[in-house]
Amino acid sequence: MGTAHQPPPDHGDSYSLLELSGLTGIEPRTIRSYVERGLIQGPDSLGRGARYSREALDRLRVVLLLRDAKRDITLDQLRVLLQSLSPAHIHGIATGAIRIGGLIDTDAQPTNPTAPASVDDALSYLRSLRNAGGTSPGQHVAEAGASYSHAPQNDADLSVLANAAQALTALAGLSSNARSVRAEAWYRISLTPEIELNVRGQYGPEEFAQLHRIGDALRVLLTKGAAR
Amino acid sequence: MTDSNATVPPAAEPFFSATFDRSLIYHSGGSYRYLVVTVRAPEADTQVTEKLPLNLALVLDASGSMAGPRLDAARLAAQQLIDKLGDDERVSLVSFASDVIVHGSGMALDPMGRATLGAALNMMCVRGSTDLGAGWLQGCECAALRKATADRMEQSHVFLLSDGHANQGIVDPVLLAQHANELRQRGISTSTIGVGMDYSPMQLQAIAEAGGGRMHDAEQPNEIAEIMLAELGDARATAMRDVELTIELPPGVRAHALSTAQSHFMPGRMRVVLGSMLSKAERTIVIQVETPPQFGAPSIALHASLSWRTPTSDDRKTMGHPPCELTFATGGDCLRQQRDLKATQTTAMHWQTWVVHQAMQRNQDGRIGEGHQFAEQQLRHLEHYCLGVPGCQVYLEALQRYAPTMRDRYDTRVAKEVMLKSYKYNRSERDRRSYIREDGDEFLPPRP
Repeated sequence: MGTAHQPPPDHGDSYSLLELSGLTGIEPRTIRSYVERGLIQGPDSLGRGARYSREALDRLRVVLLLRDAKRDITLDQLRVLLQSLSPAHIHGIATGAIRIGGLIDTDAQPTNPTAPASVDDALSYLRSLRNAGGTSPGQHVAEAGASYSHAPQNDADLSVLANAAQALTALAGLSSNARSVRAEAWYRISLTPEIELNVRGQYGPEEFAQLHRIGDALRVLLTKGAAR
Repeated sequence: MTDSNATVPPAAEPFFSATFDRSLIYHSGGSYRYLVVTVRAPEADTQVTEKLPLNLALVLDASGSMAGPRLDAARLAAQQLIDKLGDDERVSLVSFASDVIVHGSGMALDPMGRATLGAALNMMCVRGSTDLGAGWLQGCECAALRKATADRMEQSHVFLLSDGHANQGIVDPVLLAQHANELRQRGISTSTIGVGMDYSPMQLQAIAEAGGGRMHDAEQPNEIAEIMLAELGDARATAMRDVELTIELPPGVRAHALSTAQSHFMPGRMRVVLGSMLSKAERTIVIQVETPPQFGAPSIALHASLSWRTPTSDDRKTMGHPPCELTFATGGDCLRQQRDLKATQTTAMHWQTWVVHQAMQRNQDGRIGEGHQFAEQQLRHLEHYCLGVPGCQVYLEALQRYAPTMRDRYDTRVAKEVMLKSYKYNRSERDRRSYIREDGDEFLPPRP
């Protein structure tokens, strides 16, 4: 009895690691490192059948475009930039429907805020202003270095993390420090007056509830230990 | 003959007129004539503007002086403002002191976004000194980031609220105005709200004027909310954005706007920033023109044009005006010429309020003698100008009362009130406060 030919499983808009690598030209191990660094989402499941979403493919393509436009962009800068974009926007950039010039100072763009700029170029103006330290030579600032350059590069992007922290705080009722845009998003779960659990990253409400439960379990262990 | 030809626009276009008070000038040069330019915005298509989503950045001062009722009122006002916004609109929330915190950047007002902003407002606390420039520019950057990533037309606007004098970072009003001007041209406008008695009207006015927005005063904490909501209403009722008046100046002609509006000069041209204009709002700018001696041609002509953006498009529209001519004549003819009475009265009114504002700026800047000298000198010029002209006495008398008071440094609260009133008067703008103060009323003529 012959073996019936089995068509490959239809995974719709999902991709294996090798497929992602083939579609983008990025090494699988590099893709894994991007997952670890939070640039793209991890696969839906673990093991050999792990599948990555369409958005992961879009993000990888946007990473390639951004690195091509600005060679010295760091992974952290890429991460905060990607976090500030909606999936639709990422898809638009990945498919070429949206230009990336307005998002970053590409290598080709001037950095002089006094240079002529297009009318819709407010972001470029502000970022070049930040690079220039907020002022032109001879202009009046109260303290050297305390101008617009006071805030670090990509503050607006980093703020996305702070936003998420506050949203989750509101939803989960957990304590969190209002953090400066300079900071990463850290969630603080107080275990005892002396010990707290700090978790870095972005999580959904369910994941956050799970962290809370872990905190509860740790608290029980810690307080029992203290009692002994 | 006085040039009083106004362009008659179709319904959706602004009204735009430019009229000299007198049209004859001395052969030998040195004549001063006043060009009265009036712009009236068309009626806004509220069905369109109210549907145009806002991309709003709220920038709140969280310096130490805001502690207590002020910050509480600012937070409450911000919350009320966010509650008034639609689900499809975007809000950025920034607080500044000696540092800058972005609490939310371009956030959608879905339940998650509203919860985030509400939590951020609740947690906002005071700290340190006042880096107003960095906070404001950070708010602009949030709005600009959203503008760069939005796939639809939105009205990008920044509300800057402060109770203090910027004492860290960018503090020079000229530099703040320069950045506000650049950002306005790139589609980010700014309105400012000064809280209490100690804020810097110069810094906030520079940002609002050059930023195409409005400056408001909220002396009492409970006024912050009403001002913010009124400003939101104004943003929704905007009929023209980024309005600019351009005057082409013939060789040798010097011009100066008797206005709190920002002027920019280029070779052969001056540009006056009028900013945003509400539906059916009228704005008058008086340009003082000094003429050169006659070199051949019997007359000189100034060309005025208006440019603006509609609330729904970043493309600039322009409207020209027929040339406003000044004809060379003998001294006798110049003396005997008829004045355009309305243009003369309007000039006197704007001149007077401009002097009040400029002299008080000098007074509060510590240049008390200079402010006094300026007021007295301008009073003499205005007396000469108004001589024998009916309807101008009221402006003259107000300045006669004002000039001698400039000998001493003004109390900060009264000075702020005088500057705010003269600013609003000069812009033909409403004071949005419900509680009306009387300080400074004696130095300003009754509103026409």
